[in-house]
Amino acid sequence: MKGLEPGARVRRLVLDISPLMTGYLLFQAVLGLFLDFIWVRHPFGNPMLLPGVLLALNGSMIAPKVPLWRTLPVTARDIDRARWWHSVGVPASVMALLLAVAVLILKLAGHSHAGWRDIALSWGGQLACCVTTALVWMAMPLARRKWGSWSGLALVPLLLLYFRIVVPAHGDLRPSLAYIIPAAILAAALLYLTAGRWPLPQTTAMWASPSGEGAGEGAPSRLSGWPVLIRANLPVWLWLWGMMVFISLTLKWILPDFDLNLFGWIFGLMSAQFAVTNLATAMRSLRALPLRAARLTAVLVLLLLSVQGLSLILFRLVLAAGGEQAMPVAAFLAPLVFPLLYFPAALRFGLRVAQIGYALSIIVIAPLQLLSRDAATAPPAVAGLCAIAALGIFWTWREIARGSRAYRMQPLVPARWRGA
Amino acid sequence: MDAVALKGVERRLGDFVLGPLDLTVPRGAVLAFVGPNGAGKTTTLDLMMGMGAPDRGEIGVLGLAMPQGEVAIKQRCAYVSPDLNFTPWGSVGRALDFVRGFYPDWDQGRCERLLREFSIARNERIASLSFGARIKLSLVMALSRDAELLLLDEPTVGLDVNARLLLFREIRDFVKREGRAVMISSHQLSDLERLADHVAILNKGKLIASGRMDALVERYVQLEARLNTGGAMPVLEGVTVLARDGARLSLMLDRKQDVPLAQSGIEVLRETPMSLEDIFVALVADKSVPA
Repeated sequence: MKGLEPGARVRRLVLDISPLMTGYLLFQAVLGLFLDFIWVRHPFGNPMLLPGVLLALNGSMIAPKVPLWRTLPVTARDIDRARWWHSVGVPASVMALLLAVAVLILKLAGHSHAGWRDIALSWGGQLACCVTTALVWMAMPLARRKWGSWSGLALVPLLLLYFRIVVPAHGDLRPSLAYIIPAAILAAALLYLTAGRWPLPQTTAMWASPSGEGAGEGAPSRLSGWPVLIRANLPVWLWLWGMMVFISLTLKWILPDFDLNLFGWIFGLMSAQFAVTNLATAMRSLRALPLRAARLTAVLVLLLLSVQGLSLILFRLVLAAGGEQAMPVAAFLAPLVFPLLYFPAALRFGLRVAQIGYALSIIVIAPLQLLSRDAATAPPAVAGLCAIAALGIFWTWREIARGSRAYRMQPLVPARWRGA
Repeated sequence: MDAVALKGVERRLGDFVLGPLDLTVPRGAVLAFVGPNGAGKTTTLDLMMGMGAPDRGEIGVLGLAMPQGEVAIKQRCAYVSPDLNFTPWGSVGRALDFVRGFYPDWDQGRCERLLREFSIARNERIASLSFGARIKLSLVMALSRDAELLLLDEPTVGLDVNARLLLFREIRDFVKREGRAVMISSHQLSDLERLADHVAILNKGKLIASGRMDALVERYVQLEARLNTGGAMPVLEGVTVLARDGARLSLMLDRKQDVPLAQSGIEVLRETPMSLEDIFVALVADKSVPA
């Protein structure tokens, strides 16, 4: 029986997108067009790179599919080419299209627009975001497999480079982009040519499960119950928090004008991602314990809030250490509440869809954080966040007590196979 | 008092409807809960463990009603499923330490013995355990306490022969103790036939047979027969056509029914006892076998 041609195989893999993901991509495209349009109409400061940051994330979204793709009659090169199109090729094309549409609309409306050189720099910068992200996604699992979880520190220089590109707070980016863009195009070409030799993707969060290292005791511990869960995860938390502090302060040292407040969400999101993923995958085991649904909900909510609270307290200390003017306390409420919405979304829609729930939860909560910074709008914003927290707790209880999906959670498939 | 009493239990999940389900498991019994994939076995066990709530009906476990007696039920039941995930605890030892904190009747000596017999070490990483080893870990957790009811959902999936034999030995020892019961869902029907004394067959969410294992096996018999009338096989209640080759027929006869075979032109050539697997296949198969 004759198989498909390589091009057709790659095309099929590239188009392996669920309707939900299609909707999410369309949303991203509309948001990207909006951002491009605003910038092309009023080309303030540096080129607009945010659409690139948004679309760059898509490369990671197909990662969980790769283990399954390997079972299909396709080659490793086909799979890596599909990954290339998802992370570089398609975003680059879409970004060019969005910029072109923005310019076309302005031309039809008879308005002026940014210069062609700046537009080209924008597109190139957006491409550089995608290529850098693709490299990070490749480097993370490779580093972890070679040197363990602590090897994540090796990614710091790459992340710093990334922030150097996307954060517009430190002067004119255009001269740098003139060098970065050719390098990004070269890297994109090299990635395409080396398809088939890429490392396996990271399909679970790098920090998703405790290593079990140091658990070599042959006898039962004196601890039992919930403290064991906390102790088991403590090394990962220390790793995560250490990384976040190190990156923040190093970045501040390299870029003194960088506003560390921007890291608030990153601190909050990384903590939430770890806590939510861990608890959601273990829901069947947790529900089998002799606890009422309400009590289990209370314990899980308390765990989430504790972890998130500790992360945010640490972040506040980092702000103080970095000499930043800290955000008002009310502004910390949004990232604190975030996992209370993200957790039930993960229980309801599963871990893969949770990647979207992650973004959607931020979209719901982030505007309230902006409002909570202002003394005039803070009270209603805080009230809104409290309402979201209450809703999230009720939703969690409902998923645990009445729902059944939380117990059919499919963990993201680890990309492990022999001979790869 | 029965160990399990389900009355009119119904649960809708999308297009799938479980029930209405009426099922009892007497104390001292080992119930084989069998059915094809997607029949609703896991959903039933989930409902008994409070993972989801029925749309209708009553769930009684060890004389307690779910969900009112949820905590007491879980305290006295042990549950095993291939879907139990202990990854967040990192190592086998930590997962065991976590779970034992919830059960005052945890028997550490028994736990250590089971760990040895199932060849699992406390310091093994959960993430690197094989599929079978994860099931073994769940079994160790379930059998390390003095539960009154074992709910085992596919406990033999991925188990090697030795581990399977060990599990069966543990189940037999367990059920010897007074008032204990076991409900075990599996596709290993030959194993279940030897182990269980009660059986319930679920198909497409409906219970199609239940009762004592020996009674079920006695009730059905396979007949090699010849159809002397020619033409189509007459529709007879209590007779299922398993296969047909011209006038030669292979039939399953329900001995509870008084079937006039001779009057219908069917000459019985040979009678063969049926195994649970044979009966299961015949009952679950589409009855509209071309006659």
